[in-house]
Amino acid sequence: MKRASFLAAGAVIVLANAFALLHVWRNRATPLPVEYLFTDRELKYSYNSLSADDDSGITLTLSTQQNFYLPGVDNGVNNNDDSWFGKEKLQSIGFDCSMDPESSSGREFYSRQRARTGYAAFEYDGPAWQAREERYRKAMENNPYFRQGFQNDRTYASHLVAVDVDLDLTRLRSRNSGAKILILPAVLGIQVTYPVQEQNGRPARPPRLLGRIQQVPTEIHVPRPFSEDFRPLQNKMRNIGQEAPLYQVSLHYGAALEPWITGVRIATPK
Amino acid sequence: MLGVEFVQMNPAGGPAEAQQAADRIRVVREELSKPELREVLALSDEQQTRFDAWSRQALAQLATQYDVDTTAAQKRVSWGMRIASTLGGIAICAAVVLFFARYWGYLNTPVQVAILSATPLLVLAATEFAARRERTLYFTGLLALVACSSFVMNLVVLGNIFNITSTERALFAWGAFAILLAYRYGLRIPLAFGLVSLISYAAAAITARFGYEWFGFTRWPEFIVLLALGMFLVPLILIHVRNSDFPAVYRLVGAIIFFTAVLSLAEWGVPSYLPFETKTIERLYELLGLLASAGAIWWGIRRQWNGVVNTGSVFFVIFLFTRLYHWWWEWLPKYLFFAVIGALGIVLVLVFKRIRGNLEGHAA
Repeated sequence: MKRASFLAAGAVIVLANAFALLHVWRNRATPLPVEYLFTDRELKYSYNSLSADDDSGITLTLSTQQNFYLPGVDNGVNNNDDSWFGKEKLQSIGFDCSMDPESSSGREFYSRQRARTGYAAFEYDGPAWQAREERYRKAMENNPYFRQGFQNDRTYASHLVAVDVDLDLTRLRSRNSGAKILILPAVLGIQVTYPVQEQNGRPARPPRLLGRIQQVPTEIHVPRPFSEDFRPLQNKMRNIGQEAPLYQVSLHYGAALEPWITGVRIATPK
Repeated sequence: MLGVEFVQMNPAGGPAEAQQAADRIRVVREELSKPELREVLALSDEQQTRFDAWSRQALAQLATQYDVDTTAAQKRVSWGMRIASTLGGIAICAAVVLFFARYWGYLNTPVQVAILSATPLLVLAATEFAARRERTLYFTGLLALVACSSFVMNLVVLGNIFNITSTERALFAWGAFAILLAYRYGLRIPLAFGLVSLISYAAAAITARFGYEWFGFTRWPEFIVLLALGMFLVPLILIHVRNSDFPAVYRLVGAIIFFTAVLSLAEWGVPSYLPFETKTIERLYELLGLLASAGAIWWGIRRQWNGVVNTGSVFFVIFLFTRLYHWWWEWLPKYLFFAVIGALGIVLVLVFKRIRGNLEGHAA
């Protein structure tokens, strides 16, 4: 009995590690049937808070898009009226949308509704991405000033675009399936957009409700031997307009929607 | 004469209680050697010899059993050792984490996992080894800190390696581990770390159970207010015979978390579960903060809880001054605002002086 608390402390360490490894095994034992092949646009390797000398680990950051805002084009104003993540969708995932967002206490009412944990579906290089490109193209036709933004977007922006959310994974899967769909655990929030004044032919628009995917798991660890291929690539980027990716990464997701890397292909420098 | 009673009647009492007994005996010895006291309390030679022999024996017995400080100089050195051991522990924690970060990328996954899991176990074994060889527990305290940080690193990096979605459950494991170490070796810093982890876990688990993001417990701190209050009250139910210095840690951790959470609700605009307007909620929590901090001072004085009195005083001043800031900052000239604050400070000193005078009268 004299050693009971010492043994218990050791048991806490052993059990915590055992549970974590069991969880990993269960996730990987039943992988989802899709293998994702992402490029440096979706999985970015550029930023490291510690220098490479201080942190030898390699981590990629998954980048995703929410289609209803285009940097540069929208200039802080949300112009997309047909956003799929509006009032109806927000109500379907449990947010109370009973108050008029234009009322005096509307903004406070919605700011006090807490973000919920659920799931978000992202479409890779599909119609949602093409619609986004089309919006940019139209904006550029009306105003050539957007050419640079459009070029940047085409070169660097992730082609993974949010298309749906739900609190229930099965329901979300039944609505979104296929090789181009990636489903991730997500934190879903509600916001009230700011009113837009009438200006230069642009119609005025009142505040309205809009959903927001606040958070998805983005950090993906690169294990050996793949990590060695990445070391020369830190802080390297594509040139503007370059179509060929710097690298491609094969990714699998398991039953717990946690990823692991199964292959890496680095582009040969010309 | 408590020293002898303590040694003989409470052999299971902890080092903190032994140190208090040694301090009392030392003070009596010092006072009895002063000429002014000898004028009013003259001991015969025989009584003096018997007292010297008894007090030396009692101090020696306490020193043998618990390695307590028996002189003021020893006590000062012990403080230095305690500070050095804590700072050394923190520095070694940083060294362990940074050393691993520097080289882990060059290791294969199984080796990474083996090192991560083995490190806290090895440091735990080293802590036990040190505890069996010293009674003062300076190295044990240092190693316990390293064991806690190794275990934190273990689970965090394991999560990174396998891209595990973060959950609140690791907080429970860290809290349980730190509290087991604290109670086994009688260490206060691991106890404080364990209590903070367990409060965080409980608040996060409740938050997640309601379908919200678990980390959001810091932004909606009302669960934390209730849990911290519960932690403050734990020592009233859980009697610490062996670790007599632990109740103060419970109270201090509970009070600091409670007042910080209330302050965030009253002043920093964090959201609340209460179904009122934000302004009303902020005023309610401001009032709660003022009343609770004043109550903490009162209760602390009555029960002789120094930590609670100090914490209550600090937060009472913060709550009072922030209220005054809201009332007067905008419309008073700045010099006048600070003059009023200064005048209030003087009033508070006078009030405390009066309380102190009353306590003196009460003691007389």
